[in-house]
Order: sequence, then C-alpha cells, then structure tokens
Amino acid sequence: MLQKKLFAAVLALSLVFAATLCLGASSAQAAGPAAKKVRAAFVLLETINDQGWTTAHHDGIEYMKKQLGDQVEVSYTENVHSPADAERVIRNYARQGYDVIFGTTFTYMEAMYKVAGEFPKVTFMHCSGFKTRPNMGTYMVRVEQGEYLAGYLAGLMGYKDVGTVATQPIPEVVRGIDAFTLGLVRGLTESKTKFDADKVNTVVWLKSWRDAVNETTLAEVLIGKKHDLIRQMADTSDSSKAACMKGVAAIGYGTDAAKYGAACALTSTTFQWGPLYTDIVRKIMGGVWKNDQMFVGFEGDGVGLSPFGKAVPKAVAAKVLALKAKMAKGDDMSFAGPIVDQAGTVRVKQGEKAPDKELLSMRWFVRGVSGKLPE
Amino acid sequence: MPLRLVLEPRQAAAPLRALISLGTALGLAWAFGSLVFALAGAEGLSGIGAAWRAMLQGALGSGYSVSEILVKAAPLTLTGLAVALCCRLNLWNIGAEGQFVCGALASCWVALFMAPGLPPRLLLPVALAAGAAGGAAWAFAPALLKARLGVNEILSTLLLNYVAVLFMEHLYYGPWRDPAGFGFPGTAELPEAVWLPTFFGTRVHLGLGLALALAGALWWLLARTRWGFRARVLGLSPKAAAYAGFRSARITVTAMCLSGALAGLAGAGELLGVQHRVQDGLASGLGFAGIVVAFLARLNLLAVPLAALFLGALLVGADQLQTELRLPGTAVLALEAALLFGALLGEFLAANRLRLVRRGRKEAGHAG
Repeated sequence: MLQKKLFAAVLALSLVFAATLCLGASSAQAAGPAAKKVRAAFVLLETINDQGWTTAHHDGIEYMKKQLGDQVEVSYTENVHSPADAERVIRNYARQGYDVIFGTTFTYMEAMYKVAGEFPKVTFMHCSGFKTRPNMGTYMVRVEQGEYLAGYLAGLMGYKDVGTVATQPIPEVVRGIDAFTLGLVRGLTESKTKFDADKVNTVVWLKSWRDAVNETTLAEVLIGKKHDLIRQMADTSDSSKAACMKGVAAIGYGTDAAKYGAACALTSTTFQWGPLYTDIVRKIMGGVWKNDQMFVGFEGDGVGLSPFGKAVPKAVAAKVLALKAKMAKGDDMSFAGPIVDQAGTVRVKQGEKAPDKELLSMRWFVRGVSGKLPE
Repeated sequence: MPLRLVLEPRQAAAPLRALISLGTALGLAWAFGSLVFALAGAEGLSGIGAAWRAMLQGALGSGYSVSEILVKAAPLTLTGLAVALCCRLNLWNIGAEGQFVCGALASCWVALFMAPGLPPRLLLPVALAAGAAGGAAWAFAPALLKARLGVNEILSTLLLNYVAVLFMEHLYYGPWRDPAGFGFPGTAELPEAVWLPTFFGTRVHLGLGLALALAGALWWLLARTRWGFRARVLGLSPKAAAYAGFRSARITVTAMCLSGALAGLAGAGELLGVQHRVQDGLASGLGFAGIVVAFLARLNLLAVPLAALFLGALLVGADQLQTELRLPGTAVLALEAALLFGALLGEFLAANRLRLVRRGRKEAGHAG
C-alpha cells in the first residue's frame, strides 16, 4: 500500500518536473540572435549588490550599457571566488564566442592568462594584475588620486589623528593609505594645524575585503582611542556607520558610503569603471584595441569623490575641487617627491614622481602612517 | 475534529528507505529551488522551468561542461568520503575544510621547498602523501581530544577550520609569498613537475582516479576487514564495543586521522591538479560540501562518488543560471542547503512515519 502511494507520489512529482521543463523550452527558444554586436562577459567576485567592489563594477557595466545601447550585449557571472572556478567560467565564455571577457579581480590572473592562450581570437581584460598576452590587457584605476584628495580634505578640516580600518595588505591598499596620508599632511600643513608628523594616520587590519562585524569592532576600538576620523577601506560601509553612530567623522571607500547608511561621511572615494569599460568595448568595435595596461585616474573619470557631506565647509570643498581639476588635466601630484618612508629613508626624490611600477607593487608606508604591514 | 500528529518507527526494507530518503532530498531541493528561482525573478512556471533547463544544459550540454563536473567531483568525492567514514563511526568530522587546507599546504611545501632535492619520479607521490599526512595531522588533535577526554569533535573540528585558513593566509601573505609577485599575496606557481597529469585536453586530473579507487578501498576496509567490523560496531554501540574489548580510543583516532587524510588528499589534488599555487580562494567550501555529499550518499561509501557527481553537476550547471537568466549566483548555495536538509529529513522520514491520529482514539484507521 505504502509503496504504491510512494510510487504514485514520485511519478506525480516527476511529471510536474517534466512539465516545468517543457514550459521553459518555449520561452528559451523565443530569444533569437540580433544584429552583430560586441558580446562582453564579466566575471565578478561577489554579488552585484555587495555595496563595494563588485557593485562598483556592476555600476560600470550599467554605465557602459547606457552609453553603447544596442551595440553591446552583456553577460556576467557573480560569486566567483576560487581561481579554479574562474578558469571554468572564463573558458565557458570564450567557448560561447564572447568577444571580450573581463576578469574583475586579481586572483583570476593565472586562470585568465591560461585561457587567453587557448583562445587567441577572444580579447581578455584583467583588472589589477600584471600579466599580459597579445590578446590580454590589464586595467586599473588610480585609487591614489582619490585617496590623496580625501586625505587633503580631512587635513584641511583639521583632522590630525585618523584611524584607518584597512583590508588586505596588497599594493592597491598600501598605496591608497600612503596617498591618503600624503594628502592629509598637505591639508594639515595648509590649514596650519599642529600635528605629530610620525602619526597622523593609524592603520589596523581586517585581513578581509569585507567583514561587517570586525569593521564595526575595529572602528569602535579606534574611536575609543580618541581618533578623530574613521577611514573606511572595506567594501561594506560598516566602519563608517560605526563612526557616525558615535558622532565621529568618516570617509567612505569604493562606493558612496552615504548611500549605504553612513550619512555623516565627509565624502567617499569612488571607483568608476564605466568610462573604462565603454572605452575598451569601443576600441574592440573599431578594431583598434591593443593589449595595453590601462591605468586611469581623474583624467579619464576612473576615480571620483562622492558629493561632500554637510560638515564640509565651502572653502574646503572649493580647494579640494580645484586640486581635482588640476589632476583631471593630468597634473598628478599624489606621489610627487620628496616622499620619506616610516624609517626616514627618501623613497621619491624632490622633483620626481613614483613610477607606475612602484605604485603597482608598493609595500612600504610613508612617514605619518602608524602601523605595520602584516606578515 | 481534533487531530494530532504521531510519530512511529517505520519497519521498512532498505531499498524503500533509500527511495524515501533520496526522493525527499531531491523533491525538497526541487521545490525549494523553484521557490528561490521565483523569488529571484524567474517569471511564472515557464520562467522556473527555463531555469531548471538552463541548469541541465549548463551541466550536461557539452563535453566540456561534463569534464568540468568531473573536475569538481574529484575533491567532492574525497571530502564526502572523509565525512561519511567518520559518520559511520558516529563521529562528526566538520573539519574537512581545514584538513583540505592543511593537505594543500603540506603538498605545497613539498612542491616549493623539497622539489629540487627529490628524484622527479618520487615528486608526485611524495607531494600527495604529504597532502594526506597534512590532513591527518590536522585531524589528529581533535581525534585525541575526543578519544582521551571526550571533547566534542563537532566543535573542535569546526573551529580548527578557521585556524587552518588563518594559518594559510599567514603563509601566503608572509613567508611563502611569491618574491616575483609584485607584493600580491599568494605563493609562486608550483613547478610543472609536481602538477597532476590531466586527460584529454580537459582539466580532469589524476585525482579523480585516486578518489574512485579510494572509495572502493574504503568500502572494502569497512565492510570486509576486522578493523572495519570493529569500527562499525563502535559506531552502532560504543557499549557493545567496550564489552567486546575493542580498543575504542584507538579506533576513533585512526578513523578520524584517515578521514583527515582523505580531506587532505582532496586539498593536495586541487592544488597539484587544478590551482597550482596557494592563494586567496583555495578554500572555497569543498570541505563543507563534503557533508552534503556524504548525506546524499546516505553514508554509503560506494555511493559517495555518485553524490559527488550530482553536486558537481549542480555547481557547474549553476553557471548557466547566471549567464542566461541573470539569476543571482547565490541561488545555488540555497539549493545545496535544501539538498542537505532534504537528505536529513528524508532519513528521518525513512526511519519514522508520521500519522494523523484523531485525538482520544488509541488506534486510527489503517493509514494506507
């Protein structure tokens, strides 16, 4: 009896399952290929609503779609954490005949390099890495420019004991902290604030890109030690939010922290991938793409500052925007010498600028940073 | 009419129990999956159907995707065996993820620092053995604590996962960081001599064969040897084992170390066969997924490879969900969870039957 009933149940379930499959078939066939356009695929680290790195990339994709309209067809895969999965996903897109595949995080480098070798006719673009092939280029935004201005703004407002909740000690983050500190010192000097030249920016490490609980805890510890501004560097805005809760100023990172609950943020440095993506796809369309190592700052709208918070005085805002305009014209002073490291050694001489290669592999802190790189 | 639900043990034949258990697991995953697809934006029944079709197509649509399922199945089989073996002894090894990491680290150490001093022919066997040893070593402490002091192995193995991952991060951020890597975290690429051979131009590597062979060997060990008999008795009734004079502590430690070795081998295989360097993303839940595999296989060691294939197909097929239907990538994680809950509920339903009984009456009418 029971066996019969069970058999019937299984049969019924299978029928319903088969029915849903068939129903799906009709709609799947409805979508046919349209006119010839560039097919672009993106491999993403987190989900598109992660409020940080991947949201910024997704905003960039949406921007590009708006600019190019019908000329581009976009697909993406979220939540690709392991390099092993990345290789599968990238190869899958290449096999499906996508024209260009974007890998949006450093750890995909080997996987992309390998697959690029197998598909010489497909274009590959890797974010933040250093390996290239004839059909594989790299792209990155000049985070240091936005960081420098954010630091400058904080310095002009007299914040002289910043607490930074840093993420992973990779070059992008290290040079961000350095640039922020250099801008901070400049702002403090211009505003004639007295400060401790060895300790204007104290760094603590999350050792993670996002960790809401620890972000909050570390921010609260820093506030407890009387730091006057919390510098968020994580994907999520929780350290900024913690600062706002305690009535301490904050500056966001990557996306506009004020949009994600930290209303007190003075500003946020933002990554703007949209212009880059548009540019790359246009070049592929026009057949003029080259395997460049693209590195874009204010001059190409690769980075930005979100609208200033209410607490920022007009005079300060004007000064920051003036410097931003200078940078947009190509005058990048974020790593202009003389720059001295924590030990007092001159790293960049008077009249020189740190070369890109140094920026992309930076592993030292400038004077003014209190804290060490974790080993 | 007042009704109440009663539970009574079911005296059912083994095949029927398997059918109930598996049917519940798949049915629940299917129902829950459809719900998730609907919530994630699939439109109506046809949208849900399209989602399942996309998954099916993504998993089995091409020779390439099938080969990718096999790539996933290799570590999943090994971690599934690791969990299932312990469960047969009523031990809960929730630490396969950490043992996976330690296995990968041990074989990485061999590949990076011992490779130049070893004859090429010995390189791979030594690296693999080191992986197994690394995983076993990570399981040894919780095993000893359990056997000697009765410390709950669920907690100790679970917590050691996080320690293993932190240790791995310490190594690739610090002492093992690639000196030519521009300061980025991650070890150097392992020398090609230590890579596991791959087949037919795909990523399917020797680890799969190893996993299948080990599934057979482990089944034989448990079903056909004296040690296996004692282990099974211990799992069914520790008191009986003690009465029979079995050295329970020793069996416990051996089984957990064996389990750790399997998970460690999974890590070594993933490193030497697929990833070729230790960096962020090495530990991406294959150890935890072993728990799902073990329960889908109903702890039957020979069924573990099949369950691993099934879960592998799910993971690979999920790519298509995203690319074709723009469903969020996390949907497949919900599916994985539904499968595990379904398998557990199925086990429960296979062992017990639920009946609606009218209150106040001792015997309800025949249910069938």
